[in-house]
Amino acid sequence: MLKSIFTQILNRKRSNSWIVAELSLVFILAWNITDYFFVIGYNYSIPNYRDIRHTWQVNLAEYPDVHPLYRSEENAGKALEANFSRILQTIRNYPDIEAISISERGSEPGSGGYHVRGFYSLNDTSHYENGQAIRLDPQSDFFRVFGYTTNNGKTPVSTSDFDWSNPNGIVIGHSVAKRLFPDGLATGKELTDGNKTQNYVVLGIVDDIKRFDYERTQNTFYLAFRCDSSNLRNVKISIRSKTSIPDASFKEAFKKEMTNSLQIGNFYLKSIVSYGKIATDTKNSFGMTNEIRQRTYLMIFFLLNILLCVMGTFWYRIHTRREETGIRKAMGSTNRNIRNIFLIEGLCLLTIAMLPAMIVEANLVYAGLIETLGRENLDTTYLPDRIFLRFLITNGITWVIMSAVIIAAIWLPARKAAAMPPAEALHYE
Amino acid sequence: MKNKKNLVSLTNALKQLPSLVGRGWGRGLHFKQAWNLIKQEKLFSSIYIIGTGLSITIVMVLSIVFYIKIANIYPETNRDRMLIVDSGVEKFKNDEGGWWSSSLSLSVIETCFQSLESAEAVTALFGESKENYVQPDGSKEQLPVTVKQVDTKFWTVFPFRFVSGKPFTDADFQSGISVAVVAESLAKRLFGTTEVIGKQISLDFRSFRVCGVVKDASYAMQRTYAQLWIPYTLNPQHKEIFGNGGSLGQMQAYILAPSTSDVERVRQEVIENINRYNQTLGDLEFTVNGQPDRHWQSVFRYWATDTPNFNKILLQYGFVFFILLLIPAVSLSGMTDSRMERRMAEMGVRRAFGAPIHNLMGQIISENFLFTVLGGLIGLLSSYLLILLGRNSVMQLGNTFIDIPPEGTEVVLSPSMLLNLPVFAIALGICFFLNLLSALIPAWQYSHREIIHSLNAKS
Repeated sequence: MLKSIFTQILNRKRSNSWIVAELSLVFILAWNITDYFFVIGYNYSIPNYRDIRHTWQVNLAEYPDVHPLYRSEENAGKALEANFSRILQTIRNYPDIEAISISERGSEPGSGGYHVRGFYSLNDTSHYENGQAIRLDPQSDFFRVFGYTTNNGKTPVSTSDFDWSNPNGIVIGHSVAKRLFPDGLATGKELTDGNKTQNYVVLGIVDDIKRFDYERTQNTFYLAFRCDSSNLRNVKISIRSKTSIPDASFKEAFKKEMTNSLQIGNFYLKSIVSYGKIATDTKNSFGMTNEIRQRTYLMIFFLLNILLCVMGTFWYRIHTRREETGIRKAMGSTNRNIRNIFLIEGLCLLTIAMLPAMIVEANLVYAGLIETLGRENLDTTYLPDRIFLRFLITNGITWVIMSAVIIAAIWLPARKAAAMPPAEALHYE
Repeated sequence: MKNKKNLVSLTNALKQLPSLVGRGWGRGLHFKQAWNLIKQEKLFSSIYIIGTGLSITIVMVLSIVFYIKIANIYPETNRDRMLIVDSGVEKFKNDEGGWWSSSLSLSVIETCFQSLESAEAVTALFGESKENYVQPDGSKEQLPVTVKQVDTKFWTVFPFRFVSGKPFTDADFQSGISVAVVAESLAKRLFGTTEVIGKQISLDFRSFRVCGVVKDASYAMQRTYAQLWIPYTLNPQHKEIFGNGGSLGQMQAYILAPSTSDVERVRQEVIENINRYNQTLGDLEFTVNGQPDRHWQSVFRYWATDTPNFNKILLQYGFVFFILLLIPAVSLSGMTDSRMERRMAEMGVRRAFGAPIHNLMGQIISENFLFTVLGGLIGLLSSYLLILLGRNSVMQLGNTFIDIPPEGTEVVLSPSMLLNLPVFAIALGICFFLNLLSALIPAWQYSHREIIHSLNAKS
């Protein structure tokens, strides 16, 4: 059957060359988008060992000096510090809260903030790793608020699980530990910073996190700081609400009940925002939502074009081949046989179109035009970095997507043709 | 040899195309034929028209989005005679000691821009905006708002329509009085009326006297959109200086030329001023990376630190447009090809009776144009629909970074942004182009077939 289909394709060279040209063009573009989504999708599937569900950022603001409630004596030193700790205590006492955390601005998840620092292993200074430095106040519970774990997500951790009495203690992410201490034991070992002037003792290891869900895991270092009057305007207060309380009602109740009680000193409660929303907003403002949206729309546009092109052309083709259909039916072909001939013809055309498309794609990859491949050090444990395999997989996926569209486009006209009684079909001959 | 001859006749045919199409349309014959064709082959015609509509939809969505970004639209009605400098770079001349980049300092704006002789007006805006809240009277709920910190020339460069009151005065501005111009919608929301001159609004617990109410700017007008416009002299940071040389800070400059033809002259003067300013800086060098930008250029500038190659950017966008038209054009060509195949016999007969080739080509192309225009109409309507449905995100097309509006902000698109002559002209132009792209090759092929083949074809 394949042989006769190929002969037929050859016999309609002209009409088929339009379809093949269109399919090739769209195949290249659709592959490009599929490849992008493959990487993004793969990254999404990598676990992010922190949990921002039911977490909130509590934002404070201060009255301006022209406000009647403003007191200049509350604005500095011990009084300011006392006011701030009263605020924290008031939030802590709120019944629906599980944990509270104080961290430096930019350390909170999903905010887009990223403070880079790098460290050497003290014993082996050939190993250097840099990553995000997150600074937290160990008197509060950053790890519990954001649902950190160890042992690949099996054990939840709390900031108090580590002994922060040493101000130069550091907690590191799993992948940092693996890279700096390949022999396994990291806890208790020492790190030194980029200038090799300050040493840090590793207090423990937590599971890896991703900066954004659509990225792969990152190196992370957790350092301690003490919140005082010099830096309290530069910290973020985060809380975890109890799972039993629905988010919407928690937010409303918190705002309602805390607006008055958080008017302490010159501070007042400005807003409470869920970390889910912060992450969504950051994804949006970094243009990621837009990138995904644009590619999705383009993909839909390309596929609709294929659908219409194949449907339009095949409608005509099937119409002009009524005689052939009639003869086939008269010779005993079933409806399904006839429909399959057209469907297979469509898929053959797609496969023919795929070959030139793949050559162009390979050149795109070779020319370094694929954004998601721009890395210098390829990591073979990460599937999208295995270029050849990824190339085959993404082309395969593109073929499947496009063949689904082609089948959908040919199905209707082919069924109609197949359903025609043989006598009527032959009548055209 | 044959090919060469074909080529000559193709160019001839192309030359005569306009008059042929015109004659065909004039007689109404091609039109009638094409109309009958549509009626005879409803299904095929609708697939073809939908295909055309689809491609015109997507190209029109892009065109309208960029039209809104670039054209003179309230309150940015002077975009075509405006120059923008919103960032700069400061570095050591000997390339050592690093560099800084950010928005501009007020002093550099005063020295280089506000001294311009050729400019009609120069305004400085405070660049960064943070979260601001209005505290409505007698309500615990705070209202998130967008605030722009501006000077008095702002109202000249961006001619807002005042529903009541007027801009804050120079005296108010200079002495940092808490006055505000508010958007009509905010006035209505807070007080239920636009007659609010002299009333007080609490913004982040600071009280502001309303001095004017203006017609709202759409959120799509990012450079001017706000609900409250206040003097930047109220913000102590407006004099802040980053870096070492005093050129970098938090301000942006908008320069208005007297007319579009003066823009180049003003631009030259700006560049001269910056060069002169640079001579006073000693070891440091201050650059603005190819700014001042025309407004349309500023739409494509993302980073403060490099000079965009606008030709390359335009070429890239042109390429995207071309691909977006090419994909449907190839598929439409394929469909036209199938349609022609069925009408081969007709072509054969007409040629046997002496119809010249260019006549046939003209017919095919003008017939096709009817399809394209119908598709174009559908496309234009559906692009309006898509833009209105997706108004909160559609303006982000082509942006690298997105500003997140405060909660509850709706992007309002006015009818004049969508229904206007330039947009219609773009749509019609795209129809022409798409029609040529999708019908030329099949028309060429089928009108040049040997008569005997054509006559022999079955329909």
